[in-house]
Amino acid sequence: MTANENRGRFDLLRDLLARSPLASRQRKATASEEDRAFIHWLSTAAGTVIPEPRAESVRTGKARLLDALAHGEARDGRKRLSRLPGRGVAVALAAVVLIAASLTASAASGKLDLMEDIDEVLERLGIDPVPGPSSYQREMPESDPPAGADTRDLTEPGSPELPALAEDGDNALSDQQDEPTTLQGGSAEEQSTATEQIAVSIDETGPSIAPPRGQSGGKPSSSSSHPGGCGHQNMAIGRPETPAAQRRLAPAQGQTSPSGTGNGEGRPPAQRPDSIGAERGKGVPALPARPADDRANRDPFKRDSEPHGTDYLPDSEEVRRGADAEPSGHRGQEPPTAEEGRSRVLGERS
Amino acid sequence: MTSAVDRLGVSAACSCEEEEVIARAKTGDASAWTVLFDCYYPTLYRYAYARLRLREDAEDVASQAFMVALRGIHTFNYRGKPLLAWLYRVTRNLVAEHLRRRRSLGETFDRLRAGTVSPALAAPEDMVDAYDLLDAVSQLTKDQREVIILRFLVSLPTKQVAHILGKKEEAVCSLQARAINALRRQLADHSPLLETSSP
Repeated sequence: MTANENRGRFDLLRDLLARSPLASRQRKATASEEDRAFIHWLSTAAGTVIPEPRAESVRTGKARLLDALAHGEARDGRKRLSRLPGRGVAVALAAVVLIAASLTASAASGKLDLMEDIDEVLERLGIDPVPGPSSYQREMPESDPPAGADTRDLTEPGSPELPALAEDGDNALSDQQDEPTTLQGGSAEEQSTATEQIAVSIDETGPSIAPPRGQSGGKPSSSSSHPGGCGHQNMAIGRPETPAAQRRLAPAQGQTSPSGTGNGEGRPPAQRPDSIGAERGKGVPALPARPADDRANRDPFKRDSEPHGTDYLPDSEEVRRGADAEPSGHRGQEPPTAEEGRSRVLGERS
Repeated sequence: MTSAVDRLGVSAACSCEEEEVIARAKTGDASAWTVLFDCYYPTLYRYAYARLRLREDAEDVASQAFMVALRGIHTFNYRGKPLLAWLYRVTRNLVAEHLRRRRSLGETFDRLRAGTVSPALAAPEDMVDAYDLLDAVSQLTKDQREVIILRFLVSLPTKQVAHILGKKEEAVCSLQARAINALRRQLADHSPLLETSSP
């Protein structure tokens, strides 16, 4: 055996030994030693990496825990967590129910329909309702009123003028309303004009206030009421602004209207007399303006007992025309005939 | 190497009597909750610190974990698994929530570095090692990171880590081996930086 052959055998044996399981275990042991060294370093570094918690915070955390335990969170925590959303849902449902109930009540009382009716009536009368929440709450556009027109704003919601206005109109016409209200005065043309205006304004309003057509349109109260839907032009086109005014304007039960025009259907439209006159071009006579100081000092809620307003009647023609347009009645008694009322007014003026 | 509970001087018997302590804790026994707090607060704190790297945040999260445990102890049924596994899941969720909030606030890394300064890290090179170690741990996969934190930063035995993670011990060993190799590679890559950054 030569030396080369011996060297070859030695290399072969070395290779076989290197591939043996024993050599593999030795290599793993070497690697494991490295890993152990790294793990040792890692453990040491980790011990220094993480600082110890502060004693104060540990005490605070424990105190919080025991305090919460003393307040019973361990026993009631589950219930509380499940109860809280239930309360919120209950509150939300209650709010929804309340809102729905209020809306239903408003619809039942006719407030919502009233708003819509006002716009509808204004549109039929040829007046552009201003877009917005409701034309009921808007102001009438400023314009130069025709001569002799009443410049008072009757469309202002909640206006303190409203009761006063009702009484004002009543005062101005109290004498007229006591007199006969049949369409006897004036010429035939004037009668037909007033009747047509009244019919238009009545027919286009709802039946919520006035009695049904053809039944009654008289005044419900003795001193300060107005016929529901017909009568004096200022009152006929005046719209009740408040429930109290609506009640005043509503006719009394069993009351009859002596006027032939008293169909009494619907509310009067929210329209000023001057605008109606200008719109229709028929010159509806307007209510003369009262002195400003008198109007300002008057208590709007005080019922005037003494008759006044005769100074607002310009002439007998005005009286006749107003009387023609104003169907009125008296609560609990038969209305005077036209002849009686006319003679009474003329007598008082004289 | 001793466990964290032993190292902190807390009685190791709390784990042996854990079932009884849990039963008393469910009834609202203050002493039982005191035992649980003393046993597990350091462990939860160390885990939270390894994830959040801020002492104050870790303390808050550990305390908060016990408050959550107080409210939810009724849902815990002892079936042989340690309570620490349940507390660990609670803490892990709180940490994740804290990290989400921190990300939404855009917290900078400077604040993390400032918050990591510890009196125990007196030497600058140790501080640098600590920063790099935590950075390297944070770049591991989720399972590897959890194993490294629980095994070496929280110092829990392999069996308990397997219980907490819901894995077998062999799986935990395998994850640990792969995580160590990854850590060695990452720290070897950072070693030139360490030399230049250290004074």
